[in-house]
Amino acid sequence: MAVPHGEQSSFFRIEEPIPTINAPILGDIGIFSVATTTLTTVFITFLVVMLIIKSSRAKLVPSGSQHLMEIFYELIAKFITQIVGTHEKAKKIIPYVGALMVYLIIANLLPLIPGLNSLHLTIGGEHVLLFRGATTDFNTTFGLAVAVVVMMQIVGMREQGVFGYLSHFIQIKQVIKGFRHGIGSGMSALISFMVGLIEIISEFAKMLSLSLRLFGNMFAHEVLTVILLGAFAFGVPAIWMGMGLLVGVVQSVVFVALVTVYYSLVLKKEGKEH
Amino acid sequence: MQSILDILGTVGFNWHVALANFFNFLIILFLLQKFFFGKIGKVIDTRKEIIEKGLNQARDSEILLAQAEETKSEIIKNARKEETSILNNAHSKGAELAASLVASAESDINAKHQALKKEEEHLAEKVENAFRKKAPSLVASMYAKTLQKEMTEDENNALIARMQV
Repeated sequence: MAVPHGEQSSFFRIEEPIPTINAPILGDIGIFSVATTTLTTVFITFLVVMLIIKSSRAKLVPSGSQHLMEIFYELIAKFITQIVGTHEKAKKIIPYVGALMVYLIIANLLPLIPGLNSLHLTIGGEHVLLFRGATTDFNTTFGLAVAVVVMMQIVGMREQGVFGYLSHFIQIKQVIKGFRHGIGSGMSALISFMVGLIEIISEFAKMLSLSLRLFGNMFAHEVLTVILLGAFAFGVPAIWMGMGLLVGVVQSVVFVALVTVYYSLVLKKEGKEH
Repeated sequence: MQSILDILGTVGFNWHVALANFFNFLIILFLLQKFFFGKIGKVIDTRKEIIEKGLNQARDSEILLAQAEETKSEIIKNARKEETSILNNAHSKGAELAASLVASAESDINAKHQALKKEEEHLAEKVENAFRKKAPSLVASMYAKTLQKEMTEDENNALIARMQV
């Protein structure tokens, strides 16, 4: 299949090192380690700053790139509204989910930019990609998922109040109330209490499921691309890279859709506010 | 905990890198939330408000226009009615005036006609009287010229007497 590292490339086969599951570490800054994927995320930050500079000139009468930005915003808003139900609810989470979408779209599609994959570094005699796809590293997707879940808790507490939100997880009051009413309702409250504890575990499970799904798909795509390049240099990898465009967008949408569903669960139910 | 880290290690988990990526994403999230989605959202909302306001104003204007059209047609209708009544009034008054003018003119003409007739009669009488006064002398002078002879006192008187009968 792929040309083993060290063998010569031919006209029909391109030698590319198969990406390792661990992103190569370039160095440490304090407690933080800088991997090749961290460089990509820094590059994404730079692109985001450029986007922000561009958007700072937004006017009431749009022109040029502002049209694209507004189309993107409207698409995100429509997408979120379809999931959460109302525009008012959607408006509360557009910045969080929208930022995630921007990040993921750039991160997933960045490796498809021609030339970017040609930039290599040599670490310990090994050729490594300078800008490895950010989402092909579990540390990126995990950091992303943790940030999303943490933000979700903050949004939930802001929406329902700290105690109101935490009472979904630790339902002691309900247990006491239940036992005061009778054994039957006390037992059901106890079950709810246990379910609440399982909810805490499910919050951690969300981090893992979100991060592993995205990482698995993107890493598998990257590995398959290299393998295909090793087997056929022309034609097939091009189709597969085209598929990469679809995979990148679909995975971003799946991640964002799931996060939106999670956010909609922590938002107040309509009519429950008062 | 160690076992969880070991399991995650099989997929390349390194908490130092994950922490860096976590903070990196938080920075991106903050930047996008504050300066991109906030700004673009505000611009879109403001535009929507302006458009909605404009549409409402247009709708109000349409209602006002319809009302104005209604008032206009009402005013025109009333004006037409008034115009017809004024015209009718003017026609009847005109006819009345014309009739009275004709009547007064006719009476004037009659009066003048009468006066002229009287004057004519008076003049005729005057002429006749004058002629009667002068007639004998004229006749006498005609007689003298015709006959080549002066009339006598008696002849003259007899002539005058005959003429005055």
